[in-house]
Amino acid sequence: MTTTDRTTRPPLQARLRLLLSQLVSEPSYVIGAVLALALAYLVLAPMAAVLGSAVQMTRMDAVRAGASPGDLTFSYFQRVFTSPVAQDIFWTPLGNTMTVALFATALAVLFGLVLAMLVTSTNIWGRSILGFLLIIPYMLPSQALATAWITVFKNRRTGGSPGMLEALGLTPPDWLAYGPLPIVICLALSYFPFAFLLFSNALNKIDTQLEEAAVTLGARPHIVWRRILLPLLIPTTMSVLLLTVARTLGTFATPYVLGTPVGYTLLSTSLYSSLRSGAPGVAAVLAIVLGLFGVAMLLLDIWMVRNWQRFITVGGKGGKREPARLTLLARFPASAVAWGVFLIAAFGPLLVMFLSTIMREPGVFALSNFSLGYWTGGDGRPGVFNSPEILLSLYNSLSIAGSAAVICGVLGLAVGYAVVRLPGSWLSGFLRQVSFLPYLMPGMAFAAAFLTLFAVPRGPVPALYGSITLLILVMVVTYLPYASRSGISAMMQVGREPEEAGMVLGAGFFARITRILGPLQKTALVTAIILPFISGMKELSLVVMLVTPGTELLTTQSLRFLDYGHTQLANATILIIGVVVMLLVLLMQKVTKSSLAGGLGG
Amino acid sequence: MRFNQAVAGIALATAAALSSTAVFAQSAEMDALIAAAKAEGSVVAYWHSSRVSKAGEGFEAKYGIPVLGTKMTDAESTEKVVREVESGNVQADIIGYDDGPRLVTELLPGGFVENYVPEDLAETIPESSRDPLVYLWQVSIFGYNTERYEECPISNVWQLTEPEWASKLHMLDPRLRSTQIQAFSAIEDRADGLAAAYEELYGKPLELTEDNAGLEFIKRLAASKPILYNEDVEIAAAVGARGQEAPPLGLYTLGRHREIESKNLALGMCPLTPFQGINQPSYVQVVADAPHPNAARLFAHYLLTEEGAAPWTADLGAYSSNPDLTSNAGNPFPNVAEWGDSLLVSDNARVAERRGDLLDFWITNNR
Amino acid sequence: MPNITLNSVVKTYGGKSLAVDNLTTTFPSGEFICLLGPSGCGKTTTLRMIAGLERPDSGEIRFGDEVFYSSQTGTYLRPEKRKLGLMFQSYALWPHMTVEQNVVFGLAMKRMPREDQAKRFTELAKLFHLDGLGQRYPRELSGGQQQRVALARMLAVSPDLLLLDEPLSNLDASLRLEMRAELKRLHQTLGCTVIFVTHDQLEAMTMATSIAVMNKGRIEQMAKPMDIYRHPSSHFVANFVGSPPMNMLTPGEAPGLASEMTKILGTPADRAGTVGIRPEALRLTGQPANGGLKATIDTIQPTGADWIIGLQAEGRQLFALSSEPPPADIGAEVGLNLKADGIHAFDQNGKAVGPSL
Repeated sequence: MTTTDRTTRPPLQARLRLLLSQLVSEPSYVIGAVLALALAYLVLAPMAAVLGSAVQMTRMDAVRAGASPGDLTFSYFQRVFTSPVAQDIFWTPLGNTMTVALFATALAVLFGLVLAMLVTSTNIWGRSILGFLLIIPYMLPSQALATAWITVFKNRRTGGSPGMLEALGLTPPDWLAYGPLPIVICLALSYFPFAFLLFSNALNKIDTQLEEAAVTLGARPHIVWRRILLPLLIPTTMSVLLLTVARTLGTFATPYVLGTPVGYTLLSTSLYSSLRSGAPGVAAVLAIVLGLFGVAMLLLDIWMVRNWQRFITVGGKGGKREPARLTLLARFPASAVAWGVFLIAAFGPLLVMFLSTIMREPGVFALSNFSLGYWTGGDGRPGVFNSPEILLSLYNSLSIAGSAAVICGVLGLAVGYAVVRLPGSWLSGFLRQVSFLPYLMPGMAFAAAFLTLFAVPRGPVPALYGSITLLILVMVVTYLPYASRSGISAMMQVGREPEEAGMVLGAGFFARITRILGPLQKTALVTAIILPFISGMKELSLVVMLVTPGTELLTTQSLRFLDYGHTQLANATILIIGVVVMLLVLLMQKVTKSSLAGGLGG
Repeated sequence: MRFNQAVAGIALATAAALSSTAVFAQSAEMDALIAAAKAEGSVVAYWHSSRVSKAGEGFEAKYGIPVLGTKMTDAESTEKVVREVESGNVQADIIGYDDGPRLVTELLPGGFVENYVPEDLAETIPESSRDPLVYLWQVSIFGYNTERYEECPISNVWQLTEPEWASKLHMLDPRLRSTQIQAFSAIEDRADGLAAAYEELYGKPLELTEDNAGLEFIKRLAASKPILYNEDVEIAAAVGARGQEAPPLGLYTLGRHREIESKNLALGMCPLTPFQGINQPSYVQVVADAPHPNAARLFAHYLLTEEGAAPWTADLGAYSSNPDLTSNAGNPFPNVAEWGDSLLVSDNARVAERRGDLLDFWITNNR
Repeated sequence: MPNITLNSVVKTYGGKSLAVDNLTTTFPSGEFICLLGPSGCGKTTTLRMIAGLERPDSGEIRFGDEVFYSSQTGTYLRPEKRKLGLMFQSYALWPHMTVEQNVVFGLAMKRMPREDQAKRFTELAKLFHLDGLGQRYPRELSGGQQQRVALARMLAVSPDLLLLDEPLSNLDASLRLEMRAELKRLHQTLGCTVIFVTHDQLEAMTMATSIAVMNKGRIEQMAKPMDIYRHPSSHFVANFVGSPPMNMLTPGEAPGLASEMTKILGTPADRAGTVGIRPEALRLTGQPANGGLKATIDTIQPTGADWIIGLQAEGRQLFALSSEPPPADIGAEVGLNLKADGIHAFDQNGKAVGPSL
C-alpha cells in the first residue's frame, strides 16, 4: 500500500506548485541562474571571441592571400608554433616566461613567507606598522617599480637622461640594468605582498595549540617551523604559487620596460608586439596559450583543494601567537630584513619617482636643481595641481574603478551566496570556476575581445564602445575573481544557519538580505570592493585599448604624458595613484576594522 | 640667429596664411565647408602624433571648432576605426596615420576611410602625395655624436654591418614600428644601388647569400644586433649625450635635432652612400560615416595650410606635402623634393606585399 | 615524586588585566588535581605557566627542587625540559601527520631510534585501541579516536606530570563518560601527577582527587571533591560546585526559610550574610506542618534516577533534588524539611561561617 503511494508521481500541477514555492522561498536558484547566464556571456563570450580571432583571417592577411576576412585559417597557429619565426615569437619567449615566472614566483613566495614569519611571529621592531607598509608595493601600479629601476640603473645602452648610478659615475652592467635579473627582482618585489598577506593570514589562523603541543614535546623553534608550521602552510603556499604564477604570466609593463632594450621577450611582450605590428591573429594564439596556462593553474587548484583536505585543522581555537622574543643579535638583522624589503620595494620607488618630479635635471643633487615646478606649473608647462587632464583622469579613475569595484563586490557576494546556497549542484560549480576564469586571461587579450564584442549592439546590449560603461564592465569582469573568492569564503564562514533562522521567523528574501546577511557580510563586502578598486586604479593593459578621448584614466594619462615626453608628470601621476589607493585602503581598514588579507581568502 | 629665423618663420607663416585666406575667401565651396563644419561643432581625431593637440588648438582658435585629438599607434587606430565603422558606432572623424601599406590595402579598399583632397589644393600638391593624401613628410637620418667625432665616422651604410659597429646602431624596433619595415622594403627596391655602394667601399663585388643586395644588407644589419627602441626620443639622446667615449650611431627623425640645445646634445647628420635616411609620409584620412565629416575635411584642409602644418613643419626635417609652405630654415633643403635619392621612400603596394616576409626575415636574422 | 609549588605567581595580560593574582599553592605529588572555575578565572593561564608556554610576570614555579621559573633568579626552564605532557582542548593533532607520526613526534625529538619509536607506538596503540589506525590522518578519525591519539602522543614520552586543558569539552556525552573513566584509570596505573583544567564541576567531582576552585585569578578553595562539596569555604565555591546549584538566600529574601536555616546552623543571625541549602537537603513532605515551612510545586523534572523539583516559597524559586518521586502534583502545596548538613552560611565577604564560629 505504502509502496504504491510512493511510486505514484504527484500530478504535474502539484509538482509545479512545489517548484514555484521553492523558487520563491529559495531565490538562490534564480540568482544562480541569472548569474550563470551573465557570466557565460561576459566571461565565456570574450574567450570565445579570442578563440575565433585565432582561426579567422584578418583583413590585412585576407587581402594578401586573396581570401575574404573571417575565413577559417590555421596559419596563425602555424606561424606561432612551427614557422621559421616561431622560435622568436613563441618558443624563446615561452622559455623566458617560464624562467621569469619560476624565479619571480619563488622569490615572491620566499619574501612573502619570511616576512610573514617575521611580522606575525617575532618581535621585530615596528611589526604592526610593517603589516601595512609591506603591502604598499601591491598598491602601486606595476610599472612603478620598473620605472624606478630604470631611473636608478639605466646605463648608456638606452639613451635619454642618464640613470642615477650613471650620473654618479658608476656604470651598471647590462645584466643589472635590463633583462631577466631586474625583471625577476621587480616582479618578485611587486607580487610578494600577495604572498605576505596570504601567509600572514594563514599563520594567524593556525591553532597555536598545534605549535605548543610540539614545544612541550621538545621541539625547538626551528623544528616547530620545519615540522609543524611550514607543512601546515603547504596548501597556502600552493595557492600563493598558483596566484603568483598566473599574475607573472600575464604581466606586461615590467618586461616591456626592462626587457625590450636587450631584446628579452616574454609571451606577454610578444603578444603586445604582435598586436602593435598588426598581427591580431598571432596575438590571439598567444593569448590562448597564456589562457591555457591559466586553465591548467585552475585545474591544479581544484585538484589541490580536493587533495589537501587533510591539512585543514581539526577544530580548535586560533589563539594569538605570542611573538618569539628574539635576542638583540637576531632582532637587529631580522628587523633590517623586513625594513629593507619595505625600503627597496615601496619606499625606494616612491622616493625615486618623487625626486624625479622635483628635480629639473635628473641625478643632479644641487639645491638649485630642485623645483616644485612640475607640481605647481610654470616654465610654460602645466603642473600637476593645475592640469585639467590630471584632474579629469583622477575623476574618471575614481568613478570608473569605484563603480566597477562596488558592482564587483556585490556580484562577488551574490556568487558566494549562490555557491553556498546551492552546494553540490552543477550551477554552484559552474559559478565558482567561471567567475575565476578572468583571473587567468591576460588583460590585453580580454580587452581586445571586449572591443570586438561590445563595439556593436548585441541583442539587448547596446554598443558600449566609447562609453564609460564598457570600461566599468570590463573591469567588473576582470576583477570578479577577487570579489567572488572573498564572497565565497565569507559566505562559507557564515553558513546557511543565520539566514535559515530568519526564514523560519518569517523573514522574506529581501528582509533576509538587508537585515541578516547584509550586516553580517559588511566587512566581506568591503574587502570584496577594496581589491577590485585597487586593481582598477592601477590597471593599464586592460583599459589602454578601450579609453577614448574624455574617458582617460590616471594610468593611461601617465602613458600619454610619457608620449609627450613629460616623464616627470607621468611619475607624478603614478605617485597620485599610489597615494590615493593607500589613503583609501587605510580609510577602509579604519572604518571596517578589516584587513586586505581577509579579502584574498586563501 | 635662431631668434631671427624664428621671426622670419612667423612672418612668412603669417603672410602665407593671410594670402591663402584671401584666396579661399573667394571660394564659395570653402565658405560652405566652413559653415557646415561649424554646425557640426567638433572633430574627433585619432592621431599618430601627439602634436595633433597643438594643431587642434590653432584650428579651434581659427574656426572655433574644438579638436579632440588622441595619440595612438596605427595598430590601435586601425583596430578602433574598423570596429567603429563595422558596428556603425563611429566615434572618430579623422585619422593621422603612418602605415601607408595598411591604408591602401585595408582601410581604403574596405571603405573604412575616404581619401579627401581639398579641391583648391589638388593642383598644388604633387601627385605622389595625393592618393592617399600625405600631409607630412618626415625625414629620418643617421646621426652621430659631434663631441666625440669631428665628422661622421662612417660614410657608407655597409659600414654599419662591420663588427666595429655591432650593437652600436640605435634604431626603432621593426617588430613594433611598421615604418621600419617600410624602410626595409625601400632598401630592397634599392638593391642595385646597395650593391654598387658595396663595391665602391670594399673594391670587390658583393657576394650574395640572399636574393638581392637589399636583403643581404638587411640580413647583415640584423645580425649586427642594433639596439632597438619603441620611441626615437631615446635614440637621439643615446647618440648625442655628452661625455661618451664610444657613442653609438642612431637612426632617428631629424626633428630630434631641435633638442640639441635644450637637452645639451652633440648631434650631427651622417652623409652616407647610397642613402642617408628615410623619407616617411604621414597620411590624413577622413573616417567613413564620420559624425562630423565637414569639420574633418576642414581640419584636413587646415593641416595643409601654413598655420595647420606649423606644429610639425616648424621643426627640422618635417615638410608639408604642400610645396608652397615654408619649412624650418635649419633644414639642409628648404623643400622635401630636393633630398632626392638620398632618402629611402617606400612603395605602399610593394610593402603590403612584402611586409610579412620582411618582418620574418628581420626576426630570423636578428637572433 | 615531587610536588608542584607556585609561589606568589602573578600574570597580567598587556600589563592590565590580571589573569593570575599572586597565587601561592602546592599541588601535591601523585594527585589528580582539577583546576575548576568559570571561564576567565585564570585556570588555563595557571596550567600554561606550569607547562612553560607562558611566563609569569613575577613569582616562582617549582617541581620539587627543580625550578621551572623564578623571577627572582631569572630562571626559565623550556617546556620540553619540564618532562611534562600537555593535552589541549582541541587535541592539537597535527593534521598533516599520520597518527603514528603524531604519536612518536616527542620520541623523534629525543632522537630515539626509529625501530624503538615504532615499538613504542605499537605499545601505545594497543593501550589506546589505536591498532591499525597508525597510517590514518587525524581528520579520518572519530572524536574519541582523536582524543586517544592525543593521549598516546602525550604519554609516549613518559612524562612525570600530565597537564590536561579541558580535554573532554569537545566530546559528546556518552564518550565523555567513557573518557572520564579512562583518564581516571590512567592516573591510577601511571601514578603521576595530573593537573586538569575544566569549567565542568561534574568532571571535576568525578575525576579529581583534589579540586582547586579558582575565581578571579585566585584559588578559592582546594580540597578533596567531597570536602569541597560538603564544606565549601566560600559563597563562590558553594554556588559553583553542585548541580542543581545550591539555593542561596540573600538577607531579606524568604525570611521564614532563612531564619529557620540560621536557627538550624546555630549561626548568629547578624553574622550571616547569605544562607544556602543544597537541593538534596530540601525534603518535601506531603502536607505542610502547622506553622512549619511550606512551598508550592512549580515544575517537576525527572532525570530518571532523580527528580529535580522546582518550588515557590515566600516568592522565591527553589530547587529540590530527591531520589523519591514528588509527594504531590504541580500546583500543590507541600511541607519542607531542612537537612542540617546541607545548610551553609556566608558572611558579607562571601566567606563561609560555620556554627562554631
